[in-house]
Amino acid sequence: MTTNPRPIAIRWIVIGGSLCLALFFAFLGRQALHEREALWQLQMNKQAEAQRLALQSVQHGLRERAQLLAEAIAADAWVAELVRQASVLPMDDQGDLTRIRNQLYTRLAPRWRNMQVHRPFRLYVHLQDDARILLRVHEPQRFGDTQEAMRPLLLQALRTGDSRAELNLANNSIGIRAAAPLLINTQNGQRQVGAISVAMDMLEDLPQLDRDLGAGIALLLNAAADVGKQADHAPAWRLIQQTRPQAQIWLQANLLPSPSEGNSQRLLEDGGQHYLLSQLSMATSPQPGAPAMATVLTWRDVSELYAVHERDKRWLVVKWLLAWCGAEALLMILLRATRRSTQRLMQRQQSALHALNEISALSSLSGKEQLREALRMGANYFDMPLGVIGMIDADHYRVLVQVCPDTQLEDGQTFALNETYCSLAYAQDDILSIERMASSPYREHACYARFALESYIGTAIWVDGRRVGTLAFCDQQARDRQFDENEREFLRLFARWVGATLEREQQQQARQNLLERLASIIEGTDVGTWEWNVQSGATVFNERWAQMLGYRLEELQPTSVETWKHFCHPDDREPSERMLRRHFAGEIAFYDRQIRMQHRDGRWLWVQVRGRLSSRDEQGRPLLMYGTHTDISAARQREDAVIEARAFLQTVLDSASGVAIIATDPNGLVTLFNSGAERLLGYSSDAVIGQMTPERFHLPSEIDARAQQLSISCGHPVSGFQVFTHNVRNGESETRQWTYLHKDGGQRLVNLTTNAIFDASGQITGFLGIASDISALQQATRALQQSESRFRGLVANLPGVVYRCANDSDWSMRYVSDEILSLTGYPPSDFIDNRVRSFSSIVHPDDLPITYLANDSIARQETFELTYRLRHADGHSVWVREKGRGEHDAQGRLVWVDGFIWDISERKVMEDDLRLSQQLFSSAFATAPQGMALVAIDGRWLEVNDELCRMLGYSREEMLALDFQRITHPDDLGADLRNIDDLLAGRISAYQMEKRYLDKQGQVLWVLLSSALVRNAQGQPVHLVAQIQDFSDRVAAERAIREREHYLRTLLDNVIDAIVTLDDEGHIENFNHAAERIFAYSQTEVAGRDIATLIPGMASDTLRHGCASDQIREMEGLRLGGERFPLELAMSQISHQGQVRFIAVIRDIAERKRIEQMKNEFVSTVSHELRTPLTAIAGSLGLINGGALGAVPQAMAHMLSIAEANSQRLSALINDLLDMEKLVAGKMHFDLQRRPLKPLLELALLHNQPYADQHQVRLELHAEHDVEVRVDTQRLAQVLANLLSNAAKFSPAGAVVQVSLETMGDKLRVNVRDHGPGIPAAFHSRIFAKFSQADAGDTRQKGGTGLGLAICKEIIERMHGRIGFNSVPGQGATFWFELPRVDESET
Amino acid sequence: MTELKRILHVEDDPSIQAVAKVALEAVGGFQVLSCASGQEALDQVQGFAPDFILLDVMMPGMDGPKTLELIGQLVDTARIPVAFMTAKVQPDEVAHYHSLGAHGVIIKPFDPMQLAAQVRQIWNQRNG
Repeated sequence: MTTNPRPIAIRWIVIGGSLCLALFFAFLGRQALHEREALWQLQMNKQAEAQRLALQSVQHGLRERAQLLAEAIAADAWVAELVRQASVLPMDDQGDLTRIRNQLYTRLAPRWRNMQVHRPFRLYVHLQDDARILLRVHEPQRFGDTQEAMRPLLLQALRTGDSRAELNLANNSIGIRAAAPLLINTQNGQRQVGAISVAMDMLEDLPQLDRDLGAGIALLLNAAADVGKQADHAPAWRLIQQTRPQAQIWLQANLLPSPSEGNSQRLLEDGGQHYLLSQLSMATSPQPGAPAMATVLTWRDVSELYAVHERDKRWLVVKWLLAWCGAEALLMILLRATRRSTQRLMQRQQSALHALNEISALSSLSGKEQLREALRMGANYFDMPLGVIGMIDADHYRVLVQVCPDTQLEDGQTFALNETYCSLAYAQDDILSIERMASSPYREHACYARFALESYIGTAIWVDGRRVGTLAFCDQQARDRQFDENEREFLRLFARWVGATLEREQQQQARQNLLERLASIIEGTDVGTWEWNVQSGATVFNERWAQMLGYRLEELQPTSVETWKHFCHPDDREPSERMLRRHFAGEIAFYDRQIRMQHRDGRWLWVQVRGRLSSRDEQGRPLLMYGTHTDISAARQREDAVIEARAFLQTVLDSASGVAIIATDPNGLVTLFNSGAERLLGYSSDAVIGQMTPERFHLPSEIDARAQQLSISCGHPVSGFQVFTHNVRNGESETRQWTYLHKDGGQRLVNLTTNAIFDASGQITGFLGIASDISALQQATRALQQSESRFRGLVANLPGVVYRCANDSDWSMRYVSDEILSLTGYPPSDFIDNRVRSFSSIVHPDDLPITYLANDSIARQETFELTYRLRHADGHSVWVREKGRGEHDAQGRLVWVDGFIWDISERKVMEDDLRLSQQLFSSAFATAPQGMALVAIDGRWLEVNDELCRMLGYSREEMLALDFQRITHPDDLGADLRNIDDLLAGRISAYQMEKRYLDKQGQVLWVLLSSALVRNAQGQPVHLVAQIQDFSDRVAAERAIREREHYLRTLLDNVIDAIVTLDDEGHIENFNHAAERIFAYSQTEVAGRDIATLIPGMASDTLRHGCASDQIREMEGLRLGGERFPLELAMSQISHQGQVRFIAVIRDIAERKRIEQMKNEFVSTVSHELRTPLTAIAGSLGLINGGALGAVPQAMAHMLSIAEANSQRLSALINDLLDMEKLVAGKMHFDLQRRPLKPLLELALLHNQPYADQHQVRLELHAEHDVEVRVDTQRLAQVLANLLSNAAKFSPAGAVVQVSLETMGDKLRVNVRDHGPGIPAAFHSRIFAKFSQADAGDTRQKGGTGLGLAICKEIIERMHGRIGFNSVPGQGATFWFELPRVDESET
Repeated sequence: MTELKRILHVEDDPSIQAVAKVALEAVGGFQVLSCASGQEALDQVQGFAPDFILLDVMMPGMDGPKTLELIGQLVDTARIPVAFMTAKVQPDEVAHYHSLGAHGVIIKPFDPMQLAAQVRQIWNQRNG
């Protein structure tokens, strides 16, 4: 069990969440504290500000009052007049001055005193010139000084004539001083004569202020300013006045703010009380920026406010802590609740998974039971008692499997579909679920009425992409809870599993059926089967396979590939394995062979083995192979029989040299003349065939007599050749005796059998006559009888067994003489064709290997002699000697083995032996079917047999008087003599040669001569033994072939086209005269060279392709001198003597090309020359019709428009002609680019719609998708314009021309379909030809040059496409063109 | 930028010369001087001071491209637009004419009612 990672995750969520919350609330709390603090500061600032403002306002009020006072006093004209008088007095006139001062005092003093009540102040009167004090009202005795007048304020007021007020600092006091000028009115306006100045002390107001503000007030003075010292010392502040005592203590304790800070405030704690200290600078210094001269300090007890503020702050912290705790608690609750619901969900999912897992693990059960078990689990899961899988077929619902508590449902029960809920689920794409049917929209459903099922969940089952039925669960109880997504998903998966199970079941069923069917087929076809594991060798055969070989399968167990090898014929194994290797290598699709298998009873069966590799292992090695065995012995035997019969017939015809066979055509002209006929009549077949009728060979008198006879019997004249055929026309044959006339004039009596030859339809196609020389036959028959009786007598007297056995697998005896009975105790008939026993079965088993030695001798065409034991019928062994020799035919094939077996357990073996050999030789010599002779070393004939005499036409006596040199063709004599020399010298033991003899008539006779030298016991040459076979026919045939070859070669040499034959690698073999003339090479120069020497563009590997395309191509040739020239090439492939050959027929087309080019250039020039005047004509007409030269009379306008239209048509024709010429000459430039086709089609439709409108035709495009092509867009537009204008032109008014685009493999096709009259069938072949239009009359009616389609064809072909059309006359036409599609991956 | 007024037209075929003259004068309202050969054009070009030169390509003696080359030595052809009139309008041929310094190519046979517009279009492209 692995650790569940979830708790850890939750712990981290809790820790992380709490941390975040704490940080968040800490941040908010801090913000709130800050705000609180800021508010407090603001409050303090406001209070301080208020105090400062109060101070400033007091100060301001004082200044105003002082100024007002000064101005009010200065406004007194009397005072001004007095001052003026004073100012004009001489300085030493003290009397007048005192008077004036008195007057002034009298005037000012009462007012000053009155005002002292309100506010004590000092009043000064100043003179203008030096601001000298004229009078101090508050101190009249002091005057005339200028001390006070030195103040800048006063000087300024005197100078400018304006009144002023300012803060003034003097003598440890701070006050307000104001000055106002004294003005008198003169004739020249006002004149300033002096000034009034007022000074007030500020400090007197402080106690009052203290009361008003409820705050202590203190005044501090800058000591430096006070004494007029410069500020090079640190300012020293002195406390001048205070309303409450604290200030002094604080100053000493250094708790006060530095006055240099300017306007500021601070909170000060003193003795448990909190004070708000605020400072106000009195900026009375004339230099801005310099430290203030005085500051006013106010303080107020704010302890209560501070206490409230502190309390608020604490409360704030507590509030935020509480809020944080609350949030934490909420978070915990939320997490817990989420976790609980997730766990519930997971449990539910787990149970669904568990159920599904259980279901899928039900594989051990049978299909239906598996489904039932699954249903049960599903019902458990849903907690619904009823589960059902039903199949739906049309309107029926059939229960396939169900689970239900009672027997409410049964498997196989059928309902009408619309009576089930499943009809609803079946129609749904997904799950249908109903928790309470009574309140669902389906409560009217028939099923509810019938079964009262309240809750239902079901879905369709899909098999193989089709809905086949439903899976559903239901309950009669309503469900208190909705089906959740888990349950729905469970049902979906369940339904999918059911679908898959059903599908598997179906497939299994289908596979089972197929297997059974295959098995029955195999049984029915009587075929043996095998399955071979190539790697392990394990092989499984079916019963029939074993039966075929005569076994029961169990007898052969265990089977492997060795079983097969065991039964297979040894000769068939190796080729069979070769084929198997080729099959494994993939060279051949099937392993398919006929082999021999040994049956239980020892015979060999011919079996057709057919198989195929079905799988390979991971390394790609062959693994499993399946196949069949079919017994084809019977078929094989039939085949062999047919082959044998055919060979037999062939041999008969070939060897029928004793019978004349002559065939004729119905008119009697000879068509076949065999060698027998040649011999009998002395004519060569060449001279007769096709030249003569058989009448030539007959005595005319006999023919006449027969003609007369037939004429009489049938009542109408019969003559000439008819005498031979008259009686055979009805299909019967006729045999008569006739006299043949030999070429040399001799006569032969023959039996002539005539037959008519009929073809399959019963028509006579010729006649056949077979003539046999009766006298020769009689003689031969006699000779044969004599020979046989002589032979039999001879053999009967021989002291041993003479035999002849056939060259078959068992050396079966064809003849055994009677002596075998005495030698072995068995009758000869036992051995003939091995009827009862074979000869080898009586050979002593120990000596059997000895008899095999004979095979070697036979193979060397030598005589063999063996000594071995036979087992006599009565059990004893007999020592015998056998001497024999193979008889071979002309081709060297062994035909027979002849031999003699005699008992050597007796005496006089030597004598018998000698006698026997002599007799044997003489009998064989005499009766041999070929010429045989003994020839003396000097060439004289010592002995000749009858056949040789017959061949050469001499009698025996005549022959013996000759030597072979005399009758040998002079050209062959030398070779023959050289061979004999070689024999004599011992260089060779025998020789064989083809040579010519001259027969008695001097005719050449071709023979095959086999000659051997016989030496005596001392090794001296005695004589030659010669075998002579006539094969004139073969030589004649060869000569005919040579003549035919000569004839063909002559023919080849006389054709004008070069004909070159090539071997399969493209090397030149034959080269006719025309080829020599065209290429300037001679045959000997080019033989064996590559064709590329002549045609550089022709690689040997394209040869086959060239043939396959089967068309004439234009290529470039290369003459001997290096000159290149155009040629036309047609290739064809033939198979000659099993080898591939190519024949190239080549025509020099240089001249034709030159003429074509001349023609094209001519067309080009003419067209070009025509175009200039036409431009002028069309241009002039265009200008006139365009109204450039003014209006044209109505009557003329029509004619002129006709003229213009025709000049434009002519222009179009010339353009087309030039286009055509350019296309043909390859001068037209094609800019092929990759483009989507659909936009091009759309554009073409847009451009051609105006023209179509003229014919009231609408163009429509149908193209769903787009494809890319490689085209020249302008040229494509030209093609489309042509096709569209044609279609519009030939459509009836109001019709639609449809253009569609379709994809056909790697091509795409554009169709232009009209509903016009269609194209007459007669015109189909010419439609793309130049200057062709279906109807000449139409040309004028419809317009057009007749070149349009020809140009389209050229253009499309230049873009590697194809153009064509389909049309049924009367039903419109569809012109189409195809273009190769551009591959998507191509760039 | 001056106004397009004076056109020098070089064309050996008198018929086409006449048609083009009417087309340009009557339809386009231009002033046209027609020359029958390249040599005549060389003689006249400075005196006439054309705003636009229209040259036939194939002319006996001196062909259009040669005429253009020689005119270039007499007047500033960079300032005066030149167009060829020709029936040879394969894309590579057109490119060749442009490489010789032509500003436009008018295809023969031309539509006489459109000729003036075509000329004006080439002129506007040149000056626009």
